[in-house]
Amino acid sequence: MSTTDRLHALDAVRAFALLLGVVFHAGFSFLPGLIPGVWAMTDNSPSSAIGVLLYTSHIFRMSLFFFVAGFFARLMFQRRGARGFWTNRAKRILVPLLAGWVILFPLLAVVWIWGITKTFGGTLPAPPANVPPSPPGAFPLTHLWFLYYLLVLYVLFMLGRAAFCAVDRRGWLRGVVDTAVRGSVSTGVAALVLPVPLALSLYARKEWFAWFGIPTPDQSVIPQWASLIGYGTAMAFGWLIHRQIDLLAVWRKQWPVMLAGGIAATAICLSIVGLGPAFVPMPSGVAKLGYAFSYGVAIWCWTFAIVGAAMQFMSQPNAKVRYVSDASYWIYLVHLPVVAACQVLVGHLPWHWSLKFPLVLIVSMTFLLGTYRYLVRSTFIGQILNGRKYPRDPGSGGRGSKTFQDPVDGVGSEGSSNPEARTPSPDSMATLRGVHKRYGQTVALAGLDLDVHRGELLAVLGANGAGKSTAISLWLGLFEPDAGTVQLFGGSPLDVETRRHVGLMMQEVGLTPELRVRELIELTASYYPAPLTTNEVLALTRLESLANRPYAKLSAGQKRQVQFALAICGRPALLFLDEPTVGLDVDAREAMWRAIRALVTQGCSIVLTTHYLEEAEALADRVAVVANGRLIASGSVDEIRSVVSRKQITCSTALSVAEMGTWPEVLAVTRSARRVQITAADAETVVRRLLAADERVRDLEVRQAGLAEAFTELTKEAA
Amino acid sequence: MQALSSSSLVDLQTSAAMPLMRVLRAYGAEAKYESLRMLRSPAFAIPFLLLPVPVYLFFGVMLAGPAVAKNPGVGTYLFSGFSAFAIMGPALFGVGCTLALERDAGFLKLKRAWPAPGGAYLIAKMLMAMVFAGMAMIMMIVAGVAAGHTQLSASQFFILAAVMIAGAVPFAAIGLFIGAYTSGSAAPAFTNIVYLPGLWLSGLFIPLPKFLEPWAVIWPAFHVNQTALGAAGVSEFSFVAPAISAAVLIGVTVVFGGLAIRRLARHG
Repeated sequence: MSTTDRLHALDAVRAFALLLGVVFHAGFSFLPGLIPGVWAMTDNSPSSAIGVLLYTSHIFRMSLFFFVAGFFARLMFQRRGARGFWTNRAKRILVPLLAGWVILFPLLAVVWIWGITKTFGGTLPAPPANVPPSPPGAFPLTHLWFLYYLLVLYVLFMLGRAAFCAVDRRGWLRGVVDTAVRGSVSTGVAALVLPVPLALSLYARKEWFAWFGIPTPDQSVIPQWASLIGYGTAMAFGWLIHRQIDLLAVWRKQWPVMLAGGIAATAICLSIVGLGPAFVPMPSGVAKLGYAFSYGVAIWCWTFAIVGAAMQFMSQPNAKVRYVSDASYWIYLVHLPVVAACQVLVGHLPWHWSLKFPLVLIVSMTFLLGTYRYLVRSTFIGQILNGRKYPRDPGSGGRGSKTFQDPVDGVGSEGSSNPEARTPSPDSMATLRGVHKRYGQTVALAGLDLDVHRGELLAVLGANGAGKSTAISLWLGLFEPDAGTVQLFGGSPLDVETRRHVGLMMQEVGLTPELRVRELIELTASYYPAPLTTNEVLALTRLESLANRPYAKLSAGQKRQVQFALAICGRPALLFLDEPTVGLDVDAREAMWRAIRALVTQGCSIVLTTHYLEEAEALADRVAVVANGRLIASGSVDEIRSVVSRKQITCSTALSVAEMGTWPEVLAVTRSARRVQITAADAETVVRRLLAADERVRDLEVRQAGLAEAFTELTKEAA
Repeated sequence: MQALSSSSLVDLQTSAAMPLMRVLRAYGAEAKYESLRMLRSPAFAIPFLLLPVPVYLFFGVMLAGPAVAKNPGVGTYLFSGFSAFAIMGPALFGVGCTLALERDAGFLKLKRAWPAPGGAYLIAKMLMAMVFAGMAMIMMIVAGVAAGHTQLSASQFFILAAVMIAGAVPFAAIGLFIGAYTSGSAAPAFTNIVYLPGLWLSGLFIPLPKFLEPWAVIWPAFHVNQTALGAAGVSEFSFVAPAISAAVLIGVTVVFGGLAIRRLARHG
């Protein structure tokens, strides 16, 4: 287990605590016994179940958050030093506090006035006659109080730490603290000791609305003792745990016990305080003390249980969890007006809470995630909140060129080559430059460069899986490359305007079986600006007799002919034919070849992939050989053939195969019936030696290697 | 070939833009052929076009006779409910299952590579659902008038039919969603999971048990029915304001359609 594993888990815990806050506020209007006017809306379908859910989540959600915050505070302090720590905290805590308050407070005010007006049947209730004067320091911090308290606690911690280090010069005291922490965690006593300061401060508080636990200090800039002690303990303990990170692993084992403890303590608390909130202070007495202590135990049991469970189940990096973690800060900051507005909207509808509560949650979370995705993740707001600006998502734009992205830390790095350095030549109809494409773990293209020149027929050859179809798919705009550029007529293939001058025939496609051949041609032709007429297409592809037959009733070869007809019906300037003649009989293939030649004669550029090398030999102006996602050779058919200098010698001879196989110039010998076939690098020497060894050699024939041999040889070298 | 010597096979003016009329024609052709091929598919056309009317006449007219005699408004409500039933099938199955099958066949890849105008294929499927809804509504109105069990005026029939035809769109969007995420063999099963409970639990034909009543609002069929009844001014069975129901339907369309488009744009 490495340090980063732990951070994934704690990241998730922090996100969980924040999102739980959204749930808490989303359920608030459904609390049983909620006094109208306390919250923006008092729903007409209250629920005890929601009461219990909210009560439980509210016990620990903020303490859990401050615990993780303390842990990360020390981590950052260790990594960046005091100066870096404060710079970072100013940007990520202070700025959101100030900017967030200025924006959110008016919004909250509007939603609250709207909601309370609606709650009281259309008129805002008059304020009570004798409003007590505001105590000094009164200020509506709203739910952003936690940022304020973070800052206050950071200051106190830094001062406390400085004082501590001044006293404890030898580190002796630190050793004692570490030992105490270790002992209390491994024995589980921590869950009983840590609540003590909080319990005492809560007990001492005169006006304690016990149902809501640690008082929410959102009304004053003067820190409240109970809140400061409760959250300060949590943060301090988080800080101390970071001193001994291996302690996190203890909760990994303890978490089921802690969970049971948390549930038990919560049950005890609920039995004292009741399922619904009481909006009166708790009277002093033994019950108050017992309740305060049980509440503190519940806080810490839940905290340890959740941290332990996260360590157990969420230590592995997970893209989705990470996304939500990144989003959670933004979501928590801005959720309150959104959630409250949803509550106000549904508050008076005659629906059951089990419908309205999920609805409020789903609608507001969808909205909040949407705002994160489009307003935050890739903008300066994300830069401030999460310290990082993510590049825009692949799906959302980008016209071809793209960089590799490391999924874990999001640090972008440039692709292998520098595509802009090599510009396409002016007569290029289509180009691929340094194109990389992966499907999961499979590399389809690894830096492919390919050009289609004006008016040429380019045959792309390669074994199965070499990347031919992927290259064509990129040109057709079906995918975007992982890296590199793809261009058609100097534009992007993603642009439909560009593709209106492209015809295509793909492998393995099923067309609409119920439509007739004529109708398929009409439909496809409608996509193009100036297509051939249907009758012209039928004549050109010799499909007249099949014009009114449904596609489903055609043979495999006839279907291929129809697909060819669809490819050419738009009078394309550039045509992609992926294995066009598979399954055709000899006549049909000859006819298609004639049509292809006619198109080239009229200036159409064609990219053809094929497994039939004689097809490439018969049609291609240029051949490109692709292997393992790269271009390994390109040139005219003759040039490619000459790449292989070897020749084939056939003859009838009495010499044995074994004997000839020992000659140094001979690469391979085979005998079929009475004839011997010799493959040789230097044919002339072999022939001379052959004639010398056997005067009765007959039927001697020397032949240049064909495209097939050249192809085999080239791809063998590449493999 | 010889016959074509006059006409060029290749158009080398690659910068030429497509005239607007031709773009619109492409949308039209796509919708026309999508509807045509569904009509030609008997396994689809017969159950969804011809079944609703006999079902309505049997359950909504003959068996419901006593209930209608007691409260004539019930007849109107049943007519509206069976109309919703009639438009749901073609929209859900015709869009969802065909889309899933076409994805399986690699047809969608081809559609994306062709320079079809943006969304033509999806819009065509939606329009197909509306064409079928229109045909179903014509037959339903003929049956409804003939049976004489409704209290609707001519203009109310018209409004109800118009809402029902538009109401096919959210179901088509759900169909797109199912078709975009499931395989051809799984799509009918998933569609039925939405279709059958949605039909019964939305309270279109039969009174729901008390505890299920508040849950009727989660089914789009309920909202189509409510929008139609509300817009046609049938107040007796209007439980939700038609504006809210219509907003729900628009939301359903946007959410499911959006998810489907997102998926199709990335995976094909």
